[in-house]
Amino acid sequence: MGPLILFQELLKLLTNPHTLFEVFWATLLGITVGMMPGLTATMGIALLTGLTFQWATGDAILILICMYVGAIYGGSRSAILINIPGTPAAAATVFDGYPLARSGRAGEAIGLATTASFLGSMIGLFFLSFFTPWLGAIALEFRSFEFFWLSLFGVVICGNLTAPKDPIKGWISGIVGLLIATIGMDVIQAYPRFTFGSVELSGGVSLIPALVGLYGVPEVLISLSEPQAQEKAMQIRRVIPRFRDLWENWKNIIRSGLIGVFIGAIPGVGENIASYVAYDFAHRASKTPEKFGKGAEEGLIAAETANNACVGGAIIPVLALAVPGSPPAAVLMAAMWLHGMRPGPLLMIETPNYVYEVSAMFLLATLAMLVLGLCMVRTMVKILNIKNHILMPIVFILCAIGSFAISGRTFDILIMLIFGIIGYGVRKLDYADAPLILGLILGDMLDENLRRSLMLTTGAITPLFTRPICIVLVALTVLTIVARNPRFKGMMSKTREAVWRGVGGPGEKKT
Amino acid sequence: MDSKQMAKADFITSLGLMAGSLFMMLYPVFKFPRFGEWGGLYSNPGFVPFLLGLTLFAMSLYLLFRSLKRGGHQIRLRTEDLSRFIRSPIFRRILICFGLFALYYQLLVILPFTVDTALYLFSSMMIFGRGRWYFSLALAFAVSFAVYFIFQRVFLVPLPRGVF
Repeated sequence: MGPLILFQELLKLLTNPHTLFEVFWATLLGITVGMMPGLTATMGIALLTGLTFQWATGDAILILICMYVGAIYGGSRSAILINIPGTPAAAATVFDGYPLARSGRAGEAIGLATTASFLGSMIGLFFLSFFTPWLGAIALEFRSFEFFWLSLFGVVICGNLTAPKDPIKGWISGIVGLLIATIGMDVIQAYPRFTFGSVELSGGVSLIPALVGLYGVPEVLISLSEPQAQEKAMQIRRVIPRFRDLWENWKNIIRSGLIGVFIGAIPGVGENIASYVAYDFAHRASKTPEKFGKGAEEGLIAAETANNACVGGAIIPVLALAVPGSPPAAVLMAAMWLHGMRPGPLLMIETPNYVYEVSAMFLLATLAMLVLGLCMVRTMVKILNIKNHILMPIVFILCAIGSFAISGRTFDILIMLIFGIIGYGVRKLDYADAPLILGLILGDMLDENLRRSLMLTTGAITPLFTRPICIVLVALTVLTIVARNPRFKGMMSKTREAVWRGVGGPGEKKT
Repeated sequence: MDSKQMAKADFITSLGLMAGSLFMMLYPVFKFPRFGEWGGLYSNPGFVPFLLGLTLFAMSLYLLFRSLKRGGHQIRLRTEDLSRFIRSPIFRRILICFGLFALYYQLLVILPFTVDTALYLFSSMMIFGRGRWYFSLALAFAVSFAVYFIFQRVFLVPLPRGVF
C-alpha cells in the first residue's frame, strides 16, 4: 500500500500549480542559502519557520522541506567554486570538489555533486517512506520510561559525535540545553520555573528565536568581526555529468547513501558527520586512494551522496519518535509543533498517511533540486560575489524578523540576541552547538517522562532499568559514554587481541 | 585558540558552569513548592533541574580538574595584555557589532521598522565596509523598504511598529 499512497500524495502535489511554484522558489532559496558561506540549512529553516508561520500547515512544511533539501545541496557550490563550504554539511566536499574545479572541471564537479545529491536524496526517500512506518510501529511500544531514556540517549550520543575531540564539552552543551528547556511552566503541575515573575518566560524559551540566535547571530558576528578575503567564483563550462562517471561509482553511491541514512537517523548528529564518514569509507574502499584530496570524483560523490541521504534519514526519527536526527530536522520538528502537528508514535495512528505526504514533499524537493542544480548555474554563482559587509547585516535583519514574526514580541528578538551570544561562546570555546539544540528540543520530553514514570511506579526506579527497550537504551547510553574512555578503549583492544589469539587470527603474529 | 589558551578558557568556563549548576540545584530546593499530594520528591517541578544541575556540576568539576592539570589556573592579568586585547581589531569589531545589535533592538520599539532597519544597515555597511556613503545609504533604504514590502505586504508577516 505504501508506494500507492506515496504516488497518490505525489499526484496531489503535482497537479497543483501553486504547489509547484512554491517548491521551485523554496528550493531555489534553499540552494542560495546553502551556497552563501555562513548561512546554514538550520538557520534557513529557522528563518522561514517564522516567516511562513501564518501560512497553511501543508504549504509551510513543504517550503521548509524544500529549504532543507536545497540548502544541504547548495553548500557544495561554494565548496567547489571558492573552497569554502556553504554549510558544515559540505565540509568534506571541499577536499575533492575544489581541486577538481582548479583543474578546470568546475562545471563537471557541480554536475557530479548535483547528481550525487539527487541519488543520495532518493536513497533517503526510500528509507523515509518505507522505514518510518515500521519504526513508528516499534515506537508505539514506547512508554514514559522508554521516552526518558531515548531523550537522554539522544543528547549523549549527539554530544559524543559532534564533539569528537572532547566529548565532555558536547555533553555539557547538551545538559545546558536540557536545563534551559526547564525554564517556563512545567508540563505536569504548570508551575513556573526560573521565570522570576516574567510573563514572557512563563511559556518557556521560544524555540525558533533561540535556534535563529544560536545559528544566525554568531555567523554575522564572526563574518563581520573576523573578515577574510572573499575568493571570486570560477568560470563554469559543462555541467551535465557523464553517465560513465556515475556508473563506475554505483557501489560508492549506495554505500554512502546507506551511511547517510544511518547517521541521519541517530539523534542530533547530522549531515556534516555523515559526509565525513562516507568520505572516509570511500577513501578506504578506493582502488586509487592516493587521488583523494587531489580531485577524486569518488570523494566528491561520497560526501554529496551522504549529506543528502542524511536529510531523509534525519526526518525518520522526527516522524516516528519526535526526536530530531539533525539540527535542521530539529527546527523542522519545532515548525511542525508550531503548526499543530504532533510528530511521534501517535502520528502513525492519527494520520498514518502523513509519512507519505512528507515523502512526496521530499521527492518533489529532490526533483526541483536536480533541475535547479543543473540549470541556472552560471547565474546563481554570481551571488557568491556579494560582499559580507552587505550580506551579513541583511541576514541579521532577517533573523530579527524571523524571531519576531512567530509571537509578535520584541522580547523574542532579545532571546535571539542572548542565544546569539551563547552561540558565539559555544563556537569559540569548542563546545558543540548541536547537543545544545537537541537538549532544548528534548528537555520537555525528558522532564515530563522521567517524573511521570516515577509517579506511576510511586518512586520505584526498577522499571526504568528492566523493561526490554529500556535495557537496550540504557546499554547504548552507557556504551556511548564509556566508549570514549581511554581505559575502556585499551581494555577492548586487549580483549580483541586475546580473541584473535584464541582463533589463530592476526593477534598471534604480533607476539 | 591554542591548548594553553583553551585550558585557561576551560578553567574560567568551568567555574562559571559550576556556579550556574549550583544555582540550578539549590534554587528549586529552597524556592519551589513540594506538591506532596502528587507523590514523593520525584513529582516536584524542581526534581529534574536538580538532577541536571548535579550532572552539570560533576562535569564542570571534571573540566576544572582537567584545566588545572593543564595549567589553566596560571592566569596573569597584566595591564599591557589587557589593553592589547581591548585594542585588538577583533575585540573592537565584536563590541561594535553588539552595540549595533543592541541599538537596533532598542530603537525597534521607538522608530518605524523601515527607518530603524535602514539606519542599522547603513551604519553596518559604513563601519565594516569601505563603500561610498551615498551608495550605502541608498542600498540600506532600498533593502529596508524591500524587506518591509516582501514580508509585511506579500508574506503578511507582522513587523515591529515603533512609537512614531
